Amino acid sequence: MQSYQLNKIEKLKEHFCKDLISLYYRGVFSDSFSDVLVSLAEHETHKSVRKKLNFLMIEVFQNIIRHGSEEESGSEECFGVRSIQEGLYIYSSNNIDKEAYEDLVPKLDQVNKLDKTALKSLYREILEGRQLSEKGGAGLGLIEMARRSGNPIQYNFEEKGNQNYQFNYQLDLSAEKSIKLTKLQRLSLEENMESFSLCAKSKVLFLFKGDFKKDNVKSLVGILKANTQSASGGSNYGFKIFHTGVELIQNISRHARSTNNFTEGLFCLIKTDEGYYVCTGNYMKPGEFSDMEKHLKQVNQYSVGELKNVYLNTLKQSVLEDSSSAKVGLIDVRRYCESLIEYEVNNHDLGMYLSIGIHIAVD
Amino acid sequence: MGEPIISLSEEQGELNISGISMMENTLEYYRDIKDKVDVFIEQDELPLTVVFELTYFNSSTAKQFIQLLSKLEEAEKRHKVIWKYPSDHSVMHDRGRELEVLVDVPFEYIAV
Repeated sequence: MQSYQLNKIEKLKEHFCKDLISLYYRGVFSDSFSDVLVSLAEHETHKSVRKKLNFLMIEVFQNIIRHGSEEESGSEECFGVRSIQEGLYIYSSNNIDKEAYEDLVPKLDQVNKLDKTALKSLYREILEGRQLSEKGGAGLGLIEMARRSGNPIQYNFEEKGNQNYQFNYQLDLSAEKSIKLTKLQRLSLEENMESFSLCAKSKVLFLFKGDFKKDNVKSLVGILKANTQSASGGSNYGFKIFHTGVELIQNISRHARSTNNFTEGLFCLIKTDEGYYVCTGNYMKPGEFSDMEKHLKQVNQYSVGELKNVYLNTLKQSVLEDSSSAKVGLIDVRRYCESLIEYEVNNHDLGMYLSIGIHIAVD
Repeated sequence: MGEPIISLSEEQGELNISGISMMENTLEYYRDIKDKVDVFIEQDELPLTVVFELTYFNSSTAKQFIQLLSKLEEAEKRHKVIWKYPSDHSVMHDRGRELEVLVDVPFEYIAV
């Protein structure tokens, strides 16, 4: 089955194939999400820098809330985190006015010239001497970012006209406390901007690639709920998106292949002209492919009118089995969304990769 | 978050399940309460009223609910279900009615 939306998942999968974790977010920016994003970015391999990563993520995320333009239209704010080999990268892009631009340029320039000791004394100097600016910072944030990440802040500005600038910056830190990232190892801001512009072009509101261990499900659907609720107009619509998210994500944690205790998967929420597209991608457990394909084919064959009875009958059957799965997740998703479940399987070097997506139209 | 609040009052013969139920390992989560319900039905003379007040439950939770409510079918006592749903959420009302179809226990519906 070829699908324009579903193809995006394959492309994004390829694009982020070297990432252990990728997070891209272009939704509602509110304080309550920083903790959710922090928990999604957590991983065993970078636990020695966990505190630092958490601090920096929250700092960058809150900067977007604090300094982001207040106008709804035309604002292009996005936030991202990637874990690639030895490096962790926190990315931010937001629109600022000329005044902020003129304030930032010399500060960034200054911060990037200083070494660790000099940053520390500058930090103290500002803390003891000057007052905080109106928006709650006197360059202290930038100094802290450079100090804690241990690397210069990568940044650039794109002039947008009307005295507006797009401010893109990235913090680089080593995934291991005792190791320093070399300049060559580091992901360049330009390369990262390309990745995130692929997400933007694909109309991705939220992307998460990482470990689909159980507790991530709650964080993921929390993001989903908050970002689709304003468009929802009724709780039934909100229910469809939430429910689809829960079932598809749980489908990954049940059926995805796990390597070294890591259940790799990809989850995306895409905005479409008519509503939203919820999709996932994952490598399958060996031998599960034909059963899954059979199941998907069958689920798509039922008419919308039949689905309720199929749901009830399948649920009743499943009660006799002693497992958590009720085998009705996809049937249930399809009957509420009233569209076909799109899927595609590709044979990669690493195994069979299954992409699943479903469109949810705004009523 | 994601797990319901479950409380069983043996004196009143009432089991309350409220909130959201969307965890993945529902089998493990509901094992304990299913066992307690077994004991209650066997030892207690009171009928059991199961009060649901949920805003969401996933498909694997639905299976646990059917297993739980099936325990009330066999007994001769007058067990029942009270299904409370948010008044602006017709899907949650429907999802209650669907469970009712699958078990032989009377349901009462209350919009809250």
